[in-house]
Amino acid sequence: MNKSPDPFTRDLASAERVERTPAGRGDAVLAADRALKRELRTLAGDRMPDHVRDAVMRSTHPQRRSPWLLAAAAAVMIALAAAVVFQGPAPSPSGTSRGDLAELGLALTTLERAGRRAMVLAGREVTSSLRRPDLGLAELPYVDLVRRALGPVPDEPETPPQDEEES
Amino acid sequence: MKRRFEQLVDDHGGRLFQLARLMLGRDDEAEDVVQDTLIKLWSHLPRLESDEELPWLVTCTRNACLDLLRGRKRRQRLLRLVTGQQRALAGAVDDGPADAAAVGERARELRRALERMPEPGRTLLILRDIQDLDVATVARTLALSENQVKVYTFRARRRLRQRLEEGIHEQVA
Repeated sequence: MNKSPDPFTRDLASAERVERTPAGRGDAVLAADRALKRELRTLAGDRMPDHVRDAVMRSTHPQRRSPWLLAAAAAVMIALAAAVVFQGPAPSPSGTSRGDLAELGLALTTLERAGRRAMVLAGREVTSSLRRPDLGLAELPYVDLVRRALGPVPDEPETPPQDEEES
Repeated sequence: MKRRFEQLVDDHGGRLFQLARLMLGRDDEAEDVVQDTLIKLWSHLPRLESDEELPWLVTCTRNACLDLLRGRKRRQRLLRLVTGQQRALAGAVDDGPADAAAVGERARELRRALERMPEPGRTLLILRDIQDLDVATVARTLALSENQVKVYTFRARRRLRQRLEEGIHEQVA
């Protein structure tokens, strides 16, 4: 007694017949299945839109700058830096030139030198008129050594100021 | 790796877009799904063997579509609850791509019928009958045996045919 195949085996056999049997052959039901399969095949051929592809590429490969572009930018920066460094001080906004600055420097040096000379002359004039306090050093042994250590001894003998003599 | 990625995008982008478009019935959602899938591919690519690439891509696209469809079903249920009108539900379903007018009426009918097919029959029909993908790859993609792929595709096709015939009869009546 022949046992009928289970639904899975039966459908598998039908599926394979649809695949293998040439068009126009076999029973009407299988022919209709085959016709639908052919019809479905005509739906193929969708293309992915270009803007989707572009968006994917942009997301996965962010635009990198060309190494040549980066090298050119670096060269420009280096050239700029070198120009700034070697140019020296920039002219002041008031328009003072380098010559003006040199003249000013010379004037200040001259003033300083003249001022020092004036101070030395004035000091020499005033020192002779100053009265030194009597510290009672004469009684100390080695007085000369002590005096030398405290300061210069005036050449001229100490004279009291004129107005004090009058009073 | 960049070249391999670009090759995969060019080889399979159209196939994935078609799968998403036929499952979702909307170009804008299909574009989003394919874009997300391909961006995910970029990060997964180092871990994928060459024979795993297409199954991975199809599975990822299909899962994203199924997620969207589940969300759409939830929204439709909510809409039905709120309005209580079955017509609102019909209006919420997009008729498909913008260039639908250029496509023949029969093709539109096929697309609509496919959209309404249950899984995994819909995916099987798209991958096997429309895209002519080989049985072994489809089996690996859907975690089925090769015989299961053949039988389930056969059954899905027959069911689709019955639905189409019922649709024609309804129109005639």
